[in-house]
Amino acid sequence: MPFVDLFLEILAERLEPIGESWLRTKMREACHPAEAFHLAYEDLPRCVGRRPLALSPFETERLAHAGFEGSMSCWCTDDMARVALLTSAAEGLREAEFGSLLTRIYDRGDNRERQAILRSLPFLPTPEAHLGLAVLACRTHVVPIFEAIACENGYPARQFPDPAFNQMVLKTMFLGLRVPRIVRLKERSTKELARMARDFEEERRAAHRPVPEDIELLLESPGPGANTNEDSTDRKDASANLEERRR
Amino acid sequence: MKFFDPHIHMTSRTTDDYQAMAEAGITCVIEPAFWLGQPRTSAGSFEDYFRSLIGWERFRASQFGIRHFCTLALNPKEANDPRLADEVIDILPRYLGKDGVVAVGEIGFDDMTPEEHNYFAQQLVLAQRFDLPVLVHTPHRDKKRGTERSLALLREVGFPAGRTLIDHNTEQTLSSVLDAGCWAGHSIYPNTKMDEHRMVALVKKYGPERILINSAADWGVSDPLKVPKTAAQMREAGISDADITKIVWENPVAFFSQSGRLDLSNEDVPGIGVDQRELFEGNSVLRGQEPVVRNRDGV
Repeated sequence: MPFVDLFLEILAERLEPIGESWLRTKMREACHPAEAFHLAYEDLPRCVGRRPLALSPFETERLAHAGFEGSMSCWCTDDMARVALLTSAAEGLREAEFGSLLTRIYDRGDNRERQAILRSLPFLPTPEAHLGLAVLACRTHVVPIFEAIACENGYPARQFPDPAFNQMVLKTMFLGLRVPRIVRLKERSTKELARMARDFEEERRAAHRPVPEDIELLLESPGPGANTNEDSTDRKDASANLEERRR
Repeated sequence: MKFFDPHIHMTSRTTDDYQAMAEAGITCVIEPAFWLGQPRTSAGSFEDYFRSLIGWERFRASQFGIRHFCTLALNPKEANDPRLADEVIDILPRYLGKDGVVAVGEIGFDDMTPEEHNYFAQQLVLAQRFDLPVLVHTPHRDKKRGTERSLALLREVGFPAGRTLIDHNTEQTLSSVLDAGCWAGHSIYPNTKMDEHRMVALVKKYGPERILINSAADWGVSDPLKVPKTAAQMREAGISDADITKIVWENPVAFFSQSGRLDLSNEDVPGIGVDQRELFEGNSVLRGQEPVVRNRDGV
């Protein structure tokens, strides 16, 4: 079942009829966006409400079965509704048109709007087209935005080249967020990442500051299919390895 | 007692201020869009500033357990720049629909030029369109005349007094503002504008109805703790806790709730009920100091 249909089924259990009807209408109209789409995206929490999503085990399994990697434990109903709206729009527009819409919504977005965009990335038809946006998002100092891309989100593991992925992992530790929240970390672990983690550990010990316990996960040997090149900062190698992993 | 500072330019303040404000019991702030001390020269500067008020600054406040909302507008000073003013008015609708925007402001007069009049009027219309209340800045020079002209324009446009907060009041302006049915803000400053003792006198004279106080702390010499300090002075002067609570909490809540966006629930706001252990060292604001751990009950 396509994700969009799954989202609507999940939301139908949680939204008031008026909110659900509003969302379905906007999703139908999403193929002809302009300022109207911006308004719908922005207005959405007022129209559908905002409560923790709280998926049941059955719903979680259905999503996993459909190919979802990660977790929606931090999502609210408006997050899923926004993701549904974006996914609809992506399917109804040419790639370039949707790409520029996404960038505009992100630029103008407040923190929650940006979080939802980042959470939508794994569900979009041509995910690799949004790599620039995702990597840019990792630069943020607004922690919930960083969490939305780095934690419980399968997009970085699938799309980020090694240097960007490594920096994201390091920043996760820097921010005191739990490293196991990074999806498919083991598969993307490399010698270079382990080196960065060791240096970070040394830096902390030299400063007599605490070292996060979950750094152990990064100091282990790289997982199967991981890049074993000594210097993984070479972009060509990184891309080649990414291709290798996709096959 | 918890405090609400309904007019404070947190963009200009350090985390020391946030820390002190949190310790003093300030739990909610409203940051109006204003000028930065020197004129902006492109519409993009305004747009990025608006974005920072709804984004970064909101998050920065949340890390200290403080709820942050903002007002957006083309401020009176920069309304005088013909190169930019129209562009900024065109940009505003992109942001007036955002969750964290609780009023159009600061609008009003600075030098009382025709341009300021024009954009004041246009933004009253924008506020009506977006169903938002307005925050009106009164000029610091020729204030009495500026306030009269502001009240006249509001009447002319038909903007409801009950959805108008006229700010930076003094002994000269307060009575006309209250008589007009508007809400009245007062900026308590160390050396200029209003001070604690005069504020106490005004409250004794007029009572607490529709009275708000703020620090308007900004890039100049100002004090982000003026709301709790003024409350303390009021208590010392024998004003009742009920009246003080009305001024420092209930009135700002009542006024800005008219936006439909003043969400004071504790759910789902990063940092509220903040446990900074989750965000130690390397965190965007903490730099190695001891984390503050405070749950929603203030323990």
